[in-house]
Parts: sequence; structure tokens; C-alpha cells
Amino acid sequence: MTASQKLLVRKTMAHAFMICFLVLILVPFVMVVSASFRQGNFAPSRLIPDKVSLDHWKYVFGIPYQEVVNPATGETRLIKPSTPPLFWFWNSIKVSFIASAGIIFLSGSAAYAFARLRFRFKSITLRGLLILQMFPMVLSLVAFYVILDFAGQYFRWIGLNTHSGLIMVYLGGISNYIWMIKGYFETIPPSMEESARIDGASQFQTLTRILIPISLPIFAVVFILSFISYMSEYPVASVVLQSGDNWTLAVGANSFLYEQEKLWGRFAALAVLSGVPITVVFLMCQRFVIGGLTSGGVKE
Amino acid sequence: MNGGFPIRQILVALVAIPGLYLSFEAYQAGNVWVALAILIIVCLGAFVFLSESGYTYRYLFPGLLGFGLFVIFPIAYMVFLSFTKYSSEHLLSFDRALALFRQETFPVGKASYKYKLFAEGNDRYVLYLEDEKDPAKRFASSPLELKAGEQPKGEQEPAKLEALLPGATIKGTVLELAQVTREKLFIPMRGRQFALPDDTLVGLEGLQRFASRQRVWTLNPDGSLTNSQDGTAIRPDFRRGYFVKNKGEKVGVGFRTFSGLENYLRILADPRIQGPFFKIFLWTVSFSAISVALTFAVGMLLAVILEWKELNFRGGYRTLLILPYAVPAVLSILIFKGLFNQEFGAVNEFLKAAFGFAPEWETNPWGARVMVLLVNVWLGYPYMMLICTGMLQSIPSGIYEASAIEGSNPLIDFFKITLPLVLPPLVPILVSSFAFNFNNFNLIYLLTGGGPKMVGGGIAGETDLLVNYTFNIAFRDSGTNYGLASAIATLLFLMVGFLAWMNLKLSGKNVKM
Amino acid sequence: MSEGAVEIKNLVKTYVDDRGRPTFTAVKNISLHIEDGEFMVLVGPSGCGKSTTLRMVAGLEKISSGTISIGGRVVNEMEPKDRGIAMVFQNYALYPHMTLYNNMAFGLQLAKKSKDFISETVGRTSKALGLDHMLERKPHALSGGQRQRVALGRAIVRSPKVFLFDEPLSNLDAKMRVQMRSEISKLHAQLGSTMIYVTHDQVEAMTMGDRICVMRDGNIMQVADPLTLYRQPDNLFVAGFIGSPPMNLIKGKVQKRDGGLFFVETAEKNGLTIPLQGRLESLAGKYVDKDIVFGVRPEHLSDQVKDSGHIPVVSTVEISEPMGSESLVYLKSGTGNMIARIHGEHLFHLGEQVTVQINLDKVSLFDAATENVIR
Repeated sequence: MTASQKLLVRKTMAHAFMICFLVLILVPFVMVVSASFRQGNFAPSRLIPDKVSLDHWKYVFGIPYQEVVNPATGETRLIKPSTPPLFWFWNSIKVSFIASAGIIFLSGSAAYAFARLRFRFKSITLRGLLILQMFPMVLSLVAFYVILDFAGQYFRWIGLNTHSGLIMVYLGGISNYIWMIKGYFETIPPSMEESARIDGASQFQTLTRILIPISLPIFAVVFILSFISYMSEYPVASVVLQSGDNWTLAVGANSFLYEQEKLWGRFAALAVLSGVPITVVFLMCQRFVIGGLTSGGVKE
Repeated sequence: MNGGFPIRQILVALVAIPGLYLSFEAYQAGNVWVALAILIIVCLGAFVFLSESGYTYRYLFPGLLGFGLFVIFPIAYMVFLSFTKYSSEHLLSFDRALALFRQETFPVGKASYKYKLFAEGNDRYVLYLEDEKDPAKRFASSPLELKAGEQPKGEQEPAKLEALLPGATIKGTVLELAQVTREKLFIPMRGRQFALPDDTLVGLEGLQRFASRQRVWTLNPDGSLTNSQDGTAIRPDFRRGYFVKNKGEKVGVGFRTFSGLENYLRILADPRIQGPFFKIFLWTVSFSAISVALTFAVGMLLAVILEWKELNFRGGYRTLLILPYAVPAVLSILIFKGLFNQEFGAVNEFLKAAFGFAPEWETNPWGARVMVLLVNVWLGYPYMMLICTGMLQSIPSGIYEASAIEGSNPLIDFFKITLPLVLPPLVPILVSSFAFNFNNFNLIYLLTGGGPKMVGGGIAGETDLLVNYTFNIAFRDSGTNYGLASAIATLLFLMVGFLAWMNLKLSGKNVKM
Repeated sequence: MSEGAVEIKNLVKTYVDDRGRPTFTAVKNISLHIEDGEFMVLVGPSGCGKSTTLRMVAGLEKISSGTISIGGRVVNEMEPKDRGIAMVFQNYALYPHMTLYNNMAFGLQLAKKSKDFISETVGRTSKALGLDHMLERKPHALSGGQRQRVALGRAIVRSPKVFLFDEPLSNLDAKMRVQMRSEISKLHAQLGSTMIYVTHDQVEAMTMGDRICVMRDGNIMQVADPLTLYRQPDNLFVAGFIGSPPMNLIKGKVQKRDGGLFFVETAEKNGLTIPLQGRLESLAGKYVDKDIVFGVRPEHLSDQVKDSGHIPVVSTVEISEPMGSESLVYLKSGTGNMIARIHGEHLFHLGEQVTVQINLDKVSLFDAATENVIR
């Protein structure tokens, strides 16, 4: 075999491997799309549904539809969700968006202090942040419950079963992001801010007019990563949010899958509807995110 | 500094005033320590934002406050709980439990009274009693709050009734007995105690009348309680968290109490806990290690292929390969739950059709474990792939040209050059990935719920990770045990905290001054 | 009042770690007076405290103790912007997200100057620097030299009393560096402002400075104009630091032989012996049998026979670097090595025997114990 023939064989093998692997990886997505268009609420099993129906999609959008109760007699009943599941997606976006914005604000300002200012016990605080954050959030639920219950007695709007309460709890998880942003700040030579100081900027202005505009990429990364992680957060949301119209996507989606009755079709429609926009946004920001990941954060 | 409008001062005031209000309210409600904590935080915040010498901390204060409240406080609270008996059996504080005993009364039957309720509006009523034998003995309460159909919250002192002078009348509209019954006003009345001017207690007896009652338990100066009916005494056993009789039999509900190291000793010694604990610990470690190894292997393989410059469509491949990372994990996990459904799921439909066998993903422990690992690899490889790609790109290509001249091949290149070069800088990432999987609550909770059940393991499941097991002990309906859960959580935290600390050392993330 | 004069008095900078414990002292009690309109160069090896000193003048580092006054006012507690200074940084420190125009205008905008004034000032300055056609570009689209000019321009528009330069040329290539060096010198001549210039490059220091302050380990070793510094170094450090190739320094002892004083090289055998006559004899009188260091610049070694002020030394050529107009000849004489800068009419060969003449008039002697020159 000549060298070019060898190369061709290798290339073909690589492509074949890639395609097989991708098929394996992507099948779940196809299955879920197909399940969302199928009549009935069975677990996804066939690639192409035998009976196409838009019932699940109607349900997700909160559009009433007739469901066949008894196929023999053709008896139907009207189905209309009390809360359109799309609402959960909106709740999730709202909570994740505000929490991520808060995370940016909190971790950004703390990272600034860690990267640029001098204060006592800096390195210990920084290490402590990282180690303490390893405590699994799930196991703090008792304490979250106590705090929100207490605060809710005086300020209803930050109590249990409120989005603001959930967002407050989410704002605790800042230490990974502090490390990420701090790492980025440290790659920026301080002389620019010093130059701005001499030009007459106050310390706060050096942050807002010099450092932040330069660091926009890392803020984008932190925003995307925290947004995605909060879109996926289940346990805390499930304990804090009690009423159905307050649920987030994760809680609502799981609620379709009771032990007794698993509503796969509805779940699938909701999953497709909410998964697609997030995925598209993520892929659009791919370049940013990959750059940020290599600077040392772990997706949770 | 800003000589003009004092914006900063106004903002501080806007935040501080509700804070002070909260502190005051907490103090009013009797939570002195909470009130003090809030007060300290508010003052500290005001100082930091108003004083020039607190300047540096302005940037830190909001973040650290959130972190303290939602990370450090829960940890401290858990560690505290781990040294207490606090479970569904020991739910109440000692004072509450004692008050419950003190509320117990029994009818002594000396006298009985007719009663009337006078409505004053706004759920406020005056109770009027009249001795059935001696109509001259009449009593009335000051206006009381009675919420129809609701038990009054918390403990209250018995409401005092005053003797009515002959001829005195009561304002308000009289409620008929039927009305009292219909509006369920007897429920709040039953929940309360009333005392006559001579301090004898009266309570609602049936629906029609009040009768004099007596407290079952009288409190002795030494803290023990004596039963006024049979003279027996009980005393609180703070070690066991119960009121006990002389022979040690427990009476009534338990209360929260310090238990020292008991919870920790149980993990080590109690076979009902210890057995599942070590099994689960072993599985948790293996799960994390295997997950890291597999995701790394797959991710690295894909990264190497994608770095091969001769290959076409690399960008397209990469985008598709990242998909599992881009889709919210909750959704993917739940999708897999459906696909791996033992009876109807796509995976088994396919396997049955193609190979004629259907693994028991849900009922067989090993099947479930394999499934969990498969799903986790699917979820985790893109991250590793991205990281490895970054690492591979940082290797200068000249090295490979040099090795090619020396007669190397791709396999030798990978094992003798690439791997030794990328592995050391990857170690911290692998360790943190291990730590992440160690606490990968969502995956197990949503995918298998820990199932199948461990034989003889109580609430433990075969695929439960330590964090899920702990969660179950703390929150699953049957036999919640916060104390024990907290002890396990504390141990868990020590393990993962150690990993994090080690990782800091390894990665040499030096804190630059 | 000379408003650009800078007075540094007993200045100390001690760094502390994050628990407030002192870690190291970068500047150890220095005092320095810089005249209004003077071009003062701070020079020394890295870690000598020169940049720290400059940053304290700028107000970017807190002063541990001592005072700095600019134009007669103590500025210790003053914000950088109020000190009447401008600074040019080693990495230019241009704001990457702003256009050149905004880079230069930033300070004026913060000072709430009128739009017309800003555009007039920036326009004039950029024209003078040849940047007027690229004002809408961002820094990343510029070459190193252009960036350096923008940084200069940004300093100029502030019309400061004192210019501070922190190794401004070290990121440029050799050719650009020479060009910018003369531009900065021209700028100094034009504006007449005080300039404090930090560099580790002694050539820059010698060519640009009105006076040069040589620093080492947080101390000032000598402050003098370039020629004095070169000809009459105060100590061994300055002698070795200034000049390229450096001064030949030979360790030895003063000994009394045959009624005269001799410098005898410290060596097992074959040590150099040089008679100390005239000026040197009186200098060395107090150092009989003591350790001294004998210093002579390469250009004061010659291969031509001269008059009585010269002492011949027989030596062997080790390396010769002919540079056209002159040759640097590395010689082995006695046990030590010396470099001679000799007219380039003759090619020297490896191992060739040469008799060089040392010009005793130009020789400096140093006390080996204190490292100070013997006067």
C-alpha cells in the first residue's frame, strides 16, 4: 500500500467510527422528538411513531384538546392543564436569568477584590471558598428550608414557594465562578487600571470603565455556565417551590414521571420545546464557553 | 469623595432599614440570637459601605454574605445537627414537648357550666359561663381571638375568666349553640384552656358545656413531672431524648437533645446503618472512579481524532459531539429513564429485536449500575473532550514532526508523547471531576431513584450514592432522621473537602498577592 | 517656585503579606532631589527598587515611610490624578476596548473638560506624534512603536509637571528603541518638563539622562551626570554596572616593596604586580597590606608604547572581537582576565603575546571591604 492509500483507509475508518458514535449519541434526541408526536403516553420505543398526534404539544402550550378515553366507543374527554407546562420553562428562564445575573454581580465584585485588592486573610478566604463549596447543596436543604421559612414570616416575597427565595439560595454558589473570573482578571496587566488611576479614574471607575469592558468574555462564560446549571437544578427547586404554577422546568418535567403514571409523551414535548432553545444558545456561544472551560471551571 | 448627592448613603439606608425591621421583628418573636445576628450583619454592611476604611470589603461583602448564608450556615447547621437527636421521633424542642405535657388535662367533674359566645366582630368573641347548679356564679372572658375551624398556634397561657357581678351584661351578639357548631368555633375553643378566678381550669366538654378540668402533670422543682391522677412521676432523660418513668419506659413524644457522637458511632457500629453505608461508600467511589476513567478515555479518543488535520467535517463532528453537554442534564437524564425502561424502553426493544435478550436495567443491581455508568459517560464525555482538545492544541506540532522523522507511528506518538504531556496538567481536572461525580445527586435521583432496593438495607438502594442515601435518610417520608443524615453529610463533606484541598495543592493554584 | 521639582526624603517601601506581616523591603531609606525640568534616570538591575520608587512617586504604591514632594507639596496621601504627573508604562497599558482617540481623551473626559478642548488637545498631540490618521483604530491594530507613541500622547495631553517612564522601551525591537529614545529626548527638550525615567539598560541611562541615579537592593549607589558616573564611579557596583564592556576589576593587595607601593594581584603564582605611582601612591598609602580592587576601563589599555604614565603588562590573547573601528581583546594577564578596547588596525590571534599599557591616570582603586572608591 502506498502512503496515500494508507491515509485513505485511515480516513475512512475515522469517518466510520465517528458516524457510528454519533448515531449512538444522537438516538436519544431523535427518540424524544418522535415520542412527543406520538399518541399515548408510553415510554419512547420506536423511531417513527405509528400514529402522529399533536396532543402533547397542545398540552404543553396549554391548548385544550380531546383525548380518547375508550378507543372502542370513541369516548373522549377534554384535557386542559391547570398550568401550561410552557410556563415552567418560562419560570426556569426567569429564575436562571436573574440568578445568573446576580452571580455575575456577586462573583465579579468578589473576584475583583481577590485579584486586585489587598486585604487580610485573602488566600485563606479564597481556598476556604473553594473547599466549602464542595459541600453538596442537596444536603443543605434542611437549612435552606429553615432560612426561607423564617424570612418568609416577615417578608412573604422571599419565603418558601417564591422564585425570589429560590434565587437567593442559588446566589450562594459563587466560589467556582469567583475562581474563574479571578483567573481571568489576573491575566490582564494591572498597568491599564493604574494608567486609568493616573488619568483620574476612581478605583470604582477603573473597575467599571477598564476592567469590566476588557473582561466581557469571561462574564459571558460565567453567565452561560451558571444559566445552564440552574436550568438543570432539581433538588433545591423541588423543595422550595411547592405550588405547580411556580415550578421550574426541572421540577415540572419530573412531575410528568410519577411512579404510578409516567406521561412520556407530555414530557417529551416539553423536553423538546425547552431543550432546543437552550441548546441552540449554547452552541452559538460554543467558542466562548470552551475558552472559559480551559481556564479551570467545572460544569455542575 | 462624591461631594454631590449622597446616593451611596441613601442606598445603604434603603437596604439597612428593612434589615433592621427584620431584626426587630425577630426580637419581638423571641428569636434573640437571630435578631442579634441580623443586627450584626446590617451594622457590618452599613460600616463597610459608609466608611472609607471598609472600602476593600465593599466588593466582598455581598458575595460573602450570600456565601455565608447559603453555604457556610447550612454546613454549620448540619454539623450542629449531627451532634443532636433530631428526627421524626425527636422533632420538638424540649420546651415544646414539656408544654405539650403541661397542656394535658383531665375532667375532674366537680362542676359544669353552660356557655355562650358573644361575637364582637373580627373573629373576636367573649366567652360567658354560668354554673349549672348555681346560676349566680357567672364568669366572662375578655375578648378572645377564635378562628373558625382552626387550632390556635403555639402554646398559650390559660385565658382568664372574671366573675361577673349580678346584673352585669355583655356587649355583642349572642351565638346560638347551633351556630357555634356550624361555624366550627368549638375547634379553637377546645384547643385552648380557660381558668376561673380561683385558678381552676375549665374546658369544653362535648359540645354543650364546660367542665372543670385539672392538669395531668404538675411540674416539680427538680424538673420532673408528677401525674396527679395516679401519682407516678416522669422525668426528662436528656440522653435519650424522652420523658421516662422510673423504670425507664418512655412516655409521650421525644424531644431534640444533644447526643454527642452517637450518630457517628451508629455509622460505624450499627449493622443496619453500617452495612449499607460501607456498601454505598464502595459503590460511590467506584462509580466516581469509573465515570472519570471512561469519560476521560472517550473524551480523549474523540479529541485526538478531531485534532487530526487531515480529517474533513471536523467542525460539524465537534458541534454534534458537544450536544449532550448543551442539553440541560435534567432533561437528558429523564429521557434516558424512558429509553432504559425495562419493559417498553427503546433500548430493550432494540436489543430484543437484534440479539434476543433484554437486560434488567431496573430490577437487577448490576444492570442498573451499568445503565447509570452508561448514561453518565454520555453526559460527561463532551466536557472531557473539550478540555483534552484544549490541552492537545497547546502541544507544539514540531514534536510530532520530530518523532515522525525518528520513525514513530500515531499509536507510539499518543502513548509516548501526547499522554505524558497532557496528563499532569489534567490531574486537577480529573480530581474535581471525581469530586463532582462523588456528589452526583441528580443523576441517581432522577434516573433510578437509587433503585433497585438493597436487600436488607432499609431505605438504601443498590445505585444510591452516599449523597442520595443521606438525602433519603433526611427527607424520605418514613423515619426521617436529620441527626444521622447530618452526621453522614459531615463525613461526606470531610471526604470531598479533602479532595478539594488536595486538588488545590496539585493544581498549584497559587494565590498571588 | 519650581513646580516640577521632585523631592524624595527618607523613602522606605516595605511589602506586607495578607496577614500584615512584613515580607521584604524594596526601597530602603533613599533620598533624592530632582530639579524642575531635569531628566533623571533611575537605573539598576531588576529588583533594585527603581520601579517601586517610581510607582510611589506616581501614587500607585503606598509609601511605608518618608515623604515625596512634587513642586514643594507633600503628595504622600494625594490621589495619583492630583499629583500633576503622567506615566508611560512598559506594556503601554493602552485601553484595548477604546479607540486611540478615546485612549488619549480618557483622562480629559474624566476631568470633565469641554468636548472642544478635548478634541483640540488630542488632535494637536496626535498630529505631533504622527498618529492623526489612525485615531479611530483600536490598540491591537497598531505596531509596537505606534502603541508607544499613543502611550506618550496620552501622557502629553494631561500636560503634567512630571513625566514618569517605567521601562517604556524594553518591549520594542532594537531599531525602534533607538528611534524612540531620541524622540523622548526631543520631547524633553520641547516641553522642558521634569522626567523620571526608569530603565535597566545602562546605555539608555547614559544617552538620555541629565543625571543618573544608580540603585541596587533598594539603595542609591550614586547620583551623578553620565560622564561623572562613568569616569568617577563611587563604588564597585557602579563601576561594574556602567559601561560596556564593563570596567576591568582585579582583586589584590597593596604591598610595600623597594620603598615604593605596588598593587599585587591575589593569586597562587604569576599574579600581576603593578607599581602605584603619583596619584595612586598617595591614595593607596593607607591601604598597605590591605585588600583593594584595581579598576581600569578597557579603553585605557593600549597596545602602543606610551609615556611614563603607562605601565606595560604582558598578556596573552584569548578572544578577539574585531568591530572595525576598534577591537575588543580578551586578555589573560597574570591569573585574571582583562578586556582591552584597542584601535582596530591590527588583527589579534588566539594565543598571541601582547604587551598592553595601562594608563595609570585613569585607574580607580576601591576598598575591597566597603566596596567604595578610594579618594
